[in-house]
Amino acid sequence: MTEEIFARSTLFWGAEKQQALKNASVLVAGLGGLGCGVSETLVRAGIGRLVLVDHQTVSPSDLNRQILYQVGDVGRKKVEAAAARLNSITLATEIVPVDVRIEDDRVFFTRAGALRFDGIADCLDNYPSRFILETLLPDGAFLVHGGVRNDFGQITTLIRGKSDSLRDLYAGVSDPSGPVAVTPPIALAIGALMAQEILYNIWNKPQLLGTVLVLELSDFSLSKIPLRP
Amino acid sequence: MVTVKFFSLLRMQVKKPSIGVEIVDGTIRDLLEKARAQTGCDFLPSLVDAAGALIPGTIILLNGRNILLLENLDTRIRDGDEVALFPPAGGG
Repeated sequence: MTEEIFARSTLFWGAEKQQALKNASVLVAGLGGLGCGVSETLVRAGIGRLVLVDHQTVSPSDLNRQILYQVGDVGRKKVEAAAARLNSITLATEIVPVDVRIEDDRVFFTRAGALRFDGIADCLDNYPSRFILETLLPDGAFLVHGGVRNDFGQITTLIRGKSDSLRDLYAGVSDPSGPVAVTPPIALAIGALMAQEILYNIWNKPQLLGTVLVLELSDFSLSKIPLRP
Repeated sequence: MVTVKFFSLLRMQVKKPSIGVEIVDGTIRDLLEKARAQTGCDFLPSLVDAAGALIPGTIILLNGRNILLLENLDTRIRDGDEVALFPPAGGG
């Protein structure tokens, strides 16, 4: 049945790329709106392995955009609820839940460093955690960064030695105090676009290396900002 | 001519995606003043505080490089430069 599940996408991108996805492992850091969208899209694309990293529990205010959870999941660990949902979709992806705070960097690096992954999906919700996360990136591996607020968001790809670090790109940026407003469409749209860029990276053809893609739903604009390392 | 591009919260405030600013010799600080006059939109209080320092929350990229890694608001600009004013989204 597995081949049949991926038949429509393989019809487009071909068997070789489908096999590359099957062989790939991606660490999804943060299981909020972006992490949910990225994970579900990658599972439906046929990714071989997903490492899910989060330490939070599901809250009612998550349900407007975090598509892996339902009302019955409120209070449950996100890694547990997400793994259960993702395991029920295709049965073709190995799901590895890791319940750890990235800010507890020693614990995180000890545990995450022991895991095999080809790239990282930065789906975190604050800059200090992102700056810790990017230091985990091994040489040659990719990090696809995404962020959302209100009805806009951005994506870029980092590869050590080939792009600026997030710490340099976002020098001087601080997180707003209090909860960040996020609409359902922007979380799903940026999550889906991040998943697409992860596919490109797995196929060794990143489109957003050295470029920030900004999506603004207020006027449906999609802009690229070229970066210079 | 220097191109100034507005993104996200600033684009909503200015109601324009970009403008071209005639500036022969100046700094990012001069450019922002000219952009304010040209757009007729006083977006500067969300970028620069009363003491003239950059307020955290928006990154200013000169030809794709964060000006905090250059000379901050005193970074000099040249004809043909592109400046992006981008309050990035931090949520997940």
